[in-house]
Formats: sequence, structure tokens, C-alpha cells
Amino acid sequence: MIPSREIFWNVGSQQGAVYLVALMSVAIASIGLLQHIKGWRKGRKEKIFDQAGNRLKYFFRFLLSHERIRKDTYAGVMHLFIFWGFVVLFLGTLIIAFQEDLLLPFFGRKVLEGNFYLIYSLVLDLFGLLAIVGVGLALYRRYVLQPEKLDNKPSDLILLCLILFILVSGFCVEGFRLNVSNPQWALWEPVGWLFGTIFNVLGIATSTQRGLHKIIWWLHLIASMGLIAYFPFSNLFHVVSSSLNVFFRSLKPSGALVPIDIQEGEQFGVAHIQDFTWKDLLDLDACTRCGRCQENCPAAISGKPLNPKKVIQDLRTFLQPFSHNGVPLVSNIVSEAELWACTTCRACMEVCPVFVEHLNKIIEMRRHSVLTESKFPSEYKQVFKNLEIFGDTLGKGKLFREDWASNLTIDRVYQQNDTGLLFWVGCMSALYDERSKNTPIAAAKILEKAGLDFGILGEEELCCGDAARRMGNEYLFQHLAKKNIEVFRKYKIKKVVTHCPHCFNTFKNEYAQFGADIEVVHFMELIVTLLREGKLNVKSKIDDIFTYHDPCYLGRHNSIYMEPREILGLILNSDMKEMDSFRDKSFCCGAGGGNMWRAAVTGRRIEGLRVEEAVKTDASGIITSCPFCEIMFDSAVKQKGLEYSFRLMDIIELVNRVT
Amino acid sequence: MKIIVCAKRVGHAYHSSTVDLSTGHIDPGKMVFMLNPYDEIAVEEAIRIKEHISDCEIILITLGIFEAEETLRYAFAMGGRRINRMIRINYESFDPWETALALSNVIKKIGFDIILCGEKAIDDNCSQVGTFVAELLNIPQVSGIVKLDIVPQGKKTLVERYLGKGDREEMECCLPALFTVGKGLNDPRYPSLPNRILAEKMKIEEIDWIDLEFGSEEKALTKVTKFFSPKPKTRKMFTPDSSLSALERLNLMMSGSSSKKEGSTVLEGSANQLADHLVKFLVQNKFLSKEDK
Repeated sequence: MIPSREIFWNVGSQQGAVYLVALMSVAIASIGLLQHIKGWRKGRKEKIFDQAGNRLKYFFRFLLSHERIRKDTYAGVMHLFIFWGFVVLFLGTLIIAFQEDLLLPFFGRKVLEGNFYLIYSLVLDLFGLLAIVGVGLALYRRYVLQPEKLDNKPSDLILLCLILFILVSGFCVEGFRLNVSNPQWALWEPVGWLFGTIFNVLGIATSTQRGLHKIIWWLHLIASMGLIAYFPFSNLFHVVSSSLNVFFRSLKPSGALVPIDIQEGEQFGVAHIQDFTWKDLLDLDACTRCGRCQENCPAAISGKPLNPKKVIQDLRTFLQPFSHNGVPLVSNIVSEAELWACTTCRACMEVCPVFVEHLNKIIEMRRHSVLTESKFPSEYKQVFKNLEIFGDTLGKGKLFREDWASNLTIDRVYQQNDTGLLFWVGCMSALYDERSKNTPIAAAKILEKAGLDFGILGEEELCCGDAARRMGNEYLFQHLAKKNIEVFRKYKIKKVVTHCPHCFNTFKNEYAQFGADIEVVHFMELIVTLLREGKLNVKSKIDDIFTYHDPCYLGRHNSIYMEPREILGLILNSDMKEMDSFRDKSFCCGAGGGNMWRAAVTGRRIEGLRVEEAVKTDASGIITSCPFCEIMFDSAVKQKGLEYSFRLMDIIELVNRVT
Repeated sequence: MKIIVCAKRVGHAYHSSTVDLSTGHIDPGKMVFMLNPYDEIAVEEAIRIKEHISDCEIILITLGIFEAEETLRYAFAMGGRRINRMIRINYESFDPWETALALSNVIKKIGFDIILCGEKAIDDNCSQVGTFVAELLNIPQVSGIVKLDIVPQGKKTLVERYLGKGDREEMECCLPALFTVGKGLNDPRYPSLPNRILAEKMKIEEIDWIDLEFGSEEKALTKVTKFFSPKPKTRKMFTPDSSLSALERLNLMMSGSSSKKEGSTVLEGSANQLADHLVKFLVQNKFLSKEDK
């Protein structure tokens, strides 16, 4: 006897009803799908169909490897189980549909017979079991472990129970069928066989089992069709929205913000939901409420009012039908406290498994607030005016910009036109205080030791505009950027080295938007090259043990993680110590996004939390490579009374000391 | 109601190296230029008045070279459409009297109810132009106001002046009048981008110095004879009371000065009485000799 089975066994006469239910559920699902599409279409147009091949390739890699989802191991494994279980069960159902609705009626042939049927049964059974385990893990996590990042809604419970019911009822049906028809190949359907054995052990009569089979078969069918109908109205829709979001993910440099036209118009940034692009709205829909952003957000952790997940979910309410589009977002949907608490550290986007871009939404709303409404934290007015009048955030003025170099002999670019390399100092290092000047001094000495021909702009340097742009003042940013680019052109500058991650990011990723054609390297990249080429030699090593803080704009925004560790490996006698959160999970210093110029309103101080983390490693000091982080940590270290026991240094100072 | 705001573009010399020692002049390339912060407060106050009294016209006037238009546009951008006209008198003068002459000449032709000026300009710290303009127009003037309430029916205003050390003087002043505004009157807003764009498109009316009709008093009263850098100030060191213990003295030094400020007296009475008081004070303290009086 050839192994096979009759698909509509025991229920054959009511095939028509099956198709009717299926049709109905698909119709309901289509209505739901249309509503989602309608929601996305509220947004502005944006063309992002470039590199379709690459996008598709990455999409499949993403699905197959689950690499982003697996960053949270428990959730990753759970998702992997449910995902593959459902993929295989879905394919299995497709094969049945293919046979019953195409092959059998038109060609009178079957595929589900013989060895193929046996393997088919085995594979489907095993993956069904995998899915049950996955759903079990999910239920356990959501309702027993209850991690803080998850907010449980009734729909989550309905969905998980529905899925569990479909899976278990499927195996019940299989068990009853095996018991009644009793084929020789029952063991090829192991889970069904197990269920059947249990029913037999329970002593259910065969005739009763035949009746139960029919009832549960229908319940299984109705539940499955119900799931299809429920699909666009539940969190399960992430199968579509998140997949699309992964496909359409931003391929721009991760540190760059999108420029806006500031020449014309009455409205800038995002005031209402329809000012977002459709991709932004797809982002909102793609959010699965997994809470990883919330778990990693320095503002949320330190008790500030911002919670990235909540922002996304709050904005998402506009995608529902009958939502009122005219509501201004800032202060109605997203409070001002939430809006300005973001440090733009990008931790949320780094951990988001489905590439939701929280940051650009916050910046777009800030742009509206600053440019159109002229509303922002009161401390920022002075910063904006300083930038406009003096060209730096501190309001000191260009004449102080060369003070740090007064004891050094450094070429000024405006005196000698043929400088090979421009050393960009940045406002924070050149102007903040005596301590912050150590870094550029050390950097200049390293450049001299390596015998490089370099110059500084000195008085002709202006703020790079990063702070203004992150605070939403695009007008000021473009104003400064254009002036700086003009200076670059005037002195024919082609290569720039800087030690400030904020300047570095802005030059590298954003100045190209305004026609700059410069090669930008961070000082650490330069040091690594010099050390490798032997132009810089480590003469002695340092005995102290240090820990390294990854600045957000170097690490997450520009993926520079290896260089500092390579340098520290060369100049320290012992291994450096890593903090609990390091590399792409590094915890912000609290200065980004304009928060440096703002008094911490609520919650704990972010830099304080980071210094505590550093002290916990038992290292004798913290090394960083960002003037902003240094200033923040400096105050935190002093506040904790650790200034004589815990050291704080820039990696460049350390390198200068040993070479 | 017509409000006229006089705004000045000031050059701020923020660094000691801004004075070119060979010529004794300030190098404009080393200065920053901006709207005088006190005038900014005056512009803001005008905008706030218009927000409450809709039937209101705001006119900005500046006296300066072409570059001053940029500053004027910044002031315009603070108010946007609420500001009706911008006028630039094409002349730059270091003399307050000459400046006041030019301003009053133009203001007289436009007509006004309230004139708002900054208390002083942060570049020369003269604090005279406002007072001179009021004198030339023959209207009452209150200087350094920190509060301005307009009683629309009675065509009068209630103003407060800051007298120092927390004291405030409340006054009633009829309109038309001139007020010079002090810090603390309001917190000037930051211009929005649509208003900046609008400001770029707005026409600035230009009045040439020569077109102004001056009377016999047409003359600068002061002349700059010399620029020089001030001598470095002798630094006052704080020496705590030696009767205290060493620890207490150290604590005092670390917490900063504990020096007492001398109290001031507020003079009261009519203008004539006040003037008498002032002269007495000046003679007593040997600023004036009895013959001068």
C-alpha cells in the first residue's frame, strides 16, 4: 500500500463550506491589509527602491540567520522556533492546496504519496512541535518571567492562545486520524502518533475518536481561518510590516541625518503625521513592541521621561482608521520633555531587530519645534545665538581658538597654502577649559613625532554644526556647514583628521550633502595606521589598567570599535577591562543631542551611571576619545569625589605619553 | 497705536587683541556684530504689545551702514508679519547727539505713540540716545524700565524701573512717551525660520543722511580723540578677618568674598527737588565745586 492520505478524510462532504470559510477569512484579512496600506500612504512620498538586489539578499540573510533578533538570546530562539515552525507548516499547507486545487482536479495526480508523503509528514510534525515549544517559551516569557520591557495587551494573549490552539488541535486531529485509520507508517508522524497513543491510553473508543476527529478538525479549520482573518488586526501583522521594513531599511550612512530645504516654506520638520514619509509610517507599523529600545535607551534607564518604544507606539495610533490627522504631534502626542530628553546616541536603532528609525522621527519633530514654532528648552537659545554670532556653542569667539597652540609651533593653514593634512580641533577641545586643551596638544605632538605635514585652521574654524543639527536647528547647521565648506575650498583641503567624534561624523557623513569633497579620518584611525607603518613607536608601556568608553558617534554611528582596542592592546601592559555595556551596546555619556547644554531635569545623571559602571570594573581610570564624553565624565567623577582616585583621559593623551 | 523701536547693530570686541595697537583702533575683522541685546528686548516688548493690542503698528529704525540691514532683518524675524516697516538711516555716527538728531528727525515725520529703545548699547555704553531723542521730540521719558503695562483707554502706561538691590520704582506715564528698556523686562524670542525667510524678502526703506532736515543744532557734540587699552586693573585680594581661626578663614576664602555692599538711598520728590539733591550729593563728594553750581 502506498503511504498517503485522503485530505478531506472523514469530512469529505462539506468541502464547499471549507472554501467558503477560507474565502471569508481572506476577505476580512484583505480589509485589514488595505487599512494598513492606507495608513502608510498618509505619509509623504519617498523613493527608496534603489539597490533592490542587495536589499533582497540582505532580507533573506536576515530571515535565515535571525542575526538581529538573536541578539536577545531567549527571544531570538523563541522567535526562531515559531518562525521556522510556521514557515514549514505554511509550505506544507501550500503543497496540500497545490495538490487538491490544481493537480488533482486538472491532472488527476497526487504529490503527497509514497516516500515524499512520509518525509513530508515527518518534517511537518517536527516543525509543528518546534512551533509549540516556541509558543510555550513565548507564553512563559510574557506571563511568568514578565520582563519590564514587555507590555502585555489582551491581543497578545489572544494571539498566542490562538496559535497554540491551532497547533495542538492539529496534532489532536492527526492523532485521531491515525487511531481510526491505523496505517503502518504511523511512526512517520511521530507527534500525531504520540497524541494518538495518549488518546488510546485514556481509553477513548474508536467510534468516539472518529466523532471527535470531525469536531476538532472543524475547530482547527475555523481557528486557522480565524487567525488569517485576525492577522492584520493583531501583532502578527509584523510578519508583513516588519519584513517590508527590513527590506526598505535605510542604506544611508548611519550617522547622517536627512537635510531639508531651508530656503522656502512656512513649515519645516514634522508637525503632523502626514509630514512623515511613508517609510517613517511603515517604521511605526513595523514596531513589534519588543521593548529592546526601551531597555537600552540611556534616557529611559536614567529615569527621564523618554521611552523610544512609547514614542513609536504613540505615533502609531495615527495609522488606525478614523484617527484624527490634524493633531499636532509635539506636546499632544509626544511631550516636549520626551522630545528633548533624547541624546541621539542611537542605542535604540542599534538594537531594534526590525530597523525602526527612532532617531530621525525625534529629530524631525525637533526641527518643527525649533524652526517653525521656535520652541525649545530655554537653555538652547543662548547656544543658538552663540553659534550664530561667535561660531561656537560656548560663545567664546574665534580669537580664542588658537590659545591651546600658543606654546607649540604649528602651521596655520591660512598662512601656508600647501598643507597636506588639516588637523581639525573642534570647539570643545579648543575652547572649553584648560583640561580639554590637553587632547589637541597631545594630538599635535603625535603628528609631529610621526613627521606628518599638517596645519590647523585656527581662527578660521567654526563649529561643525553637529550640535545645532541634533537640536533641530537645521538652519544654523546648514549655515555653518556651508561656511566651513567654503573655507575647505578656499585652502584646497582634501584630507581632514579630527579627534572629535561629532565633527568626524558630521564631516564624513553629512558634509557631502552640501557638496564637500574631503577625506575624513578619525585620529584613532590615523594612530593605528601610523603604528602599523612604524612611523610611531611605542617606547614604554603603561602599567595601569584602564577601561574604554565607546563614544556613540564613533562606535554606533561610525562603527569604530577595533581601533581603540588595538591601540590600548599595544600601549597597556595588561589587558584592558570592558564595562558591562561596551561596543555597540555602549552607554551614552549624556551629552549628545544638545543635552550637554541642558540641566538634567529629571531622573539620574546619565554620565554618573556610566562612571559608576566604569568604577565597577576595578580599573584605575576610564579612557575615552571624545571631548564631550570627557567633559561629562569629568563632572561626574568630581561629583562622586573620585577625582584623586579615578583617572579620566583621552586615548590620544595616553598614546602621546608612551611614544 | 504706533510703536517705534530703535535698534542698533553693535560690534562686540570680546578679546583683548581686537585693538590694533599700531593704530589704536578696533579691528572690525576681530569683532562680532549683533543686534544690541537691550534693543532686542525692546523689539520683543513691541511684539508682545502687539500680541495684546491688535490695532498696532510696529516700525523698526536703525542708523548705520549697509551691513546694519542684516541686524535689522534679525530684529524683523523675531516678529515676522507683526512688524510693519523697517527703516535704515544711511549714516554711522559715534556721537549720541548726532544719532538722536537723525532718529528724532525721522520719527517726527512718521508719528508715534510709544518709542522703545535699549537702555544702552553694549559697544559704547553711552545710554544717551534714548534720552536725547525724547528731549528732541519733547516727550516724557522713563529709562531702564523692567515692566510696561499699557492702559489702552486712558492713553497712559504703568511702568516699573529697577533701582538696584531689589528696589523697584513704579511710575505712571502718559503717552506719547519714550521708554528705554532694561534687562529683565522680558526674555527675547529666537526667530523662527519662516520669519527669517520673510525677513530676507522684506524691503528696507533707506533714508539718506543728506535728506534729513536739520535745524541749527546740527552738530556732533563729542569727538573721539583717542582709543587706548585700559591699564590692567589692580586685583583686589580678599583677606578675611584676622581675628577668625585659620579654619574659618580658609572656609571663608574658599567660599568666596563676604564683603558687604554699601546701601543706597532712594531719593524722592519732584524733579526739581531731585535735581537739588543730586547737585548736593555731587558737591558733597567733590565731583563738582561750588562754583560750577
